[in-house]
Amino acid sequence: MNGQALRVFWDNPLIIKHLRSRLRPWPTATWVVVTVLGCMGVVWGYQVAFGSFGSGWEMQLILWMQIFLIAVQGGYQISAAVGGARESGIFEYHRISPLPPSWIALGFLLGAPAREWVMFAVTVPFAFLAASQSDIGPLGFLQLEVPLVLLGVLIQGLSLLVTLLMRKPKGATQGGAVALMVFAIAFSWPFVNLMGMITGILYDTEGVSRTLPFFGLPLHWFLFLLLYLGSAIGFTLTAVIRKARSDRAHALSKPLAIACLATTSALVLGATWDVRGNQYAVMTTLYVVSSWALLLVPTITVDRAEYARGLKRAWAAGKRRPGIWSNDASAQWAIYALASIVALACSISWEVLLGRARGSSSACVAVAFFAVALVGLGLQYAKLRLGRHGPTAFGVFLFLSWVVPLLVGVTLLSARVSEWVYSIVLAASPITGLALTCVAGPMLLNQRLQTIPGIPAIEAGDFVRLAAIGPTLTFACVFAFLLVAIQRRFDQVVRKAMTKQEEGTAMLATAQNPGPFVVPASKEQAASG
Amino acid sequence: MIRVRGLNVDYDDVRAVSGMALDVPAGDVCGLIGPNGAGKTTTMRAIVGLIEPTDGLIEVAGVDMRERPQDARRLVAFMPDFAPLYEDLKVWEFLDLFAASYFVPKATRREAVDRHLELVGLTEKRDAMVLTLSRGMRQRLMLAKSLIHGPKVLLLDEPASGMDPQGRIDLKNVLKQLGAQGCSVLISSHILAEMTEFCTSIAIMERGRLVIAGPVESIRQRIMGAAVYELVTVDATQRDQVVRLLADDPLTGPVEGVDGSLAFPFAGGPEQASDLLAALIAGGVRVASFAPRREGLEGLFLKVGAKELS
Repeated sequence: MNGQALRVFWDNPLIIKHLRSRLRPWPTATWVVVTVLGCMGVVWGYQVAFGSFGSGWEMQLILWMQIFLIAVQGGYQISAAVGGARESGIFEYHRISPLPPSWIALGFLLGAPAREWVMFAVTVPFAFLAASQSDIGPLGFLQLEVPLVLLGVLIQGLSLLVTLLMRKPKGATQGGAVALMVFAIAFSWPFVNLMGMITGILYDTEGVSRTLPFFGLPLHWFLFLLLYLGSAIGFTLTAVIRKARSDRAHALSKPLAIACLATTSALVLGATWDVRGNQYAVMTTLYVVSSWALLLVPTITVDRAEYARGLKRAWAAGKRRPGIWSNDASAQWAIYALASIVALACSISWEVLLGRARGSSSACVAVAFFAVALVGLGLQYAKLRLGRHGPTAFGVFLFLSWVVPLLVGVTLLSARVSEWVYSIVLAASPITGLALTCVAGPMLLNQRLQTIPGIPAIEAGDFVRLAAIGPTLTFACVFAFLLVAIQRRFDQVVRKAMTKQEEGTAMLATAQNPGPFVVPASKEQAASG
Repeated sequence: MIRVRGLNVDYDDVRAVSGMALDVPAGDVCGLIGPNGAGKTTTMRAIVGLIEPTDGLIEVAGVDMRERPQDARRLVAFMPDFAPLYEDLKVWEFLDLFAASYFVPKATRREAVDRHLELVGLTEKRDAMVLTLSRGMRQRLMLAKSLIHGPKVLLLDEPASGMDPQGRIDLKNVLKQLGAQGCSVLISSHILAEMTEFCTSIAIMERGRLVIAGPVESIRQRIMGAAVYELVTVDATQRDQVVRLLADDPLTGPVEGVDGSLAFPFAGGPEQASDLLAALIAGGVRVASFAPRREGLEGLFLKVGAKELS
């Protein structure tokens, strides 16, 4: 990285703007004093009141404080700054300035929480003191702080992305803040535990390795964390930069979404590679990869205006349709690619972890594939067919086909009807169908349904698998057919509109062409009169 | 200059701008007028790059907005009707932010900030917080922000809203000055009387389409037909005599008006008008004044057919 590229950090007008507005002397000094007092309270509390300074608990308290400052407070400040700028309209003036989108994104990401980073910096000497007095030590302190900073940047980046994705900026501020709080709370506790685990790995002398397994290979824990957090930060920043460029841009392009899912799948497989014979590890992979694919689907599906624009541009360039990876193209093929990655990742996980273990079934892989295809193709069809009402209508469809069976199944379960009845109903929803075909189905049905007279256990299990695959496969095929049909129809309608428009433009050009000056008719009438 | 060809902009199911073709040469101050919802703001936002058009060509100062957006953005400035500002900055800090955003060299940035504060009459507010400025002052600050990087193309959407009379006068002077310096200005406003004073050309839009565009005089001649001349006689009883004399001239139309103040369309140029005046005087008419009537933009706008001026 040369000096010119580094200007994004030291000569970024937005960072300078935030440094000016957020580091005005009096408010900053006030908050620094509050932070110092808080840290001194922790140190004094453990050393004087409890006489146990150096036990490691004070380090955990300071870690919590740091997480609160950079993840919760910092994320909120970013959300408020970007939401406010979008709401007032000034964000658009940054977009039309010659500042590259990466400068805008980093300007808000690094600048808006300036005061929080200063307060974080104030806590660092206290954290170092606590670490050096305990078993953690100076090196352990560094190995705790670096991942914490990376996690803070990730949460701040997600906060920025959520705020940029929200349609109504005012709601974005609130929605981003709420999402951020939930995310920070959900992640900070495991993180602190993870820190405890890592320090345990590092300083436990009873032969515990300092490495973590990745695809069966020992990887230094620090590199392990950098690999996972670095990938997450990388894709988050890519999405943020795309949204900083244009409000109407998709957070990820189709190739980027596919790359993101492939990376996530690789990371999940890498982490679970050594957990052999564990159906729950396969189920976790299934749910994580499928959920991630479902989250990526809305970022790549196009609406009517985008699709029409793509068609018009393609025709202007002498093509029938835009390329399949174009931002304005239908997401049809990208959805098949996402579903295939899900199927591949789940198949690898199932094959590696379970193999052909007794009672296991690969039906869950098919359910995951068709569930992703159903949602992707269905949403794309709904957006093209129903315009802006499409996502709502498709949401209703998903509620009826995915949530209602779940509710009915839970009701049957609580009513204590036969096990295979509620299992079949629950399996009709992919939300539970994945788990039933992967773990619960083989475990429950193959063992207990043997007691039902007239129904062999293996057939009962197949009923559940059929209930899981049947509706998902059917709807996926129906939406695939409908999508192809609506695309053809759309092509014809837009082509006709283009032809009419060209004729209209020609007529307008003729009408605008000034003719010779003519003496008004009223004069001739007056003369004759 | 601004060059737009075949511009189409779609919002979901609605075509907001259709087949727009417009030229605003360097030094021209063009008034973009039309009823609410005609597509004026959408056109402006598409030109500055805030909206991605469905298709069409947009060039500013010879740079294609789609092919070289970063270069084009250095040459354009846009000022909206409602000025969004950072209220947590001081006035000079706000201008410095945008000077830096447009890569005004650091060495000249401070001087540029001070010069533009003086231009819009905000020197005394240099160190005040933006939060404390009135709406008119905010508009002035936004104007200074728009000009700070020396744009070749300036687009203003209802720039005078909220400004006091002095602010409006200053704005007019600035626009005239920019025009004289070779800057292309495209301005949208509903206050047509004010636009008459500084617009050298107009473009009238309706329902997303450009109805007519060109230099004001040319449009006036095309729309209004023959120029309308106003004649005031010293003696009001000479009306019949004037009507008789005018009826003999093949270039004049029916006479309107009462007493000594008369108006009539005249299809000739200045030479023929001079001859007509001489004929009237020779015919014994005591002429107090004789001049063509200047039709304002309101008249042109209403004549074109746009009905819904708010």
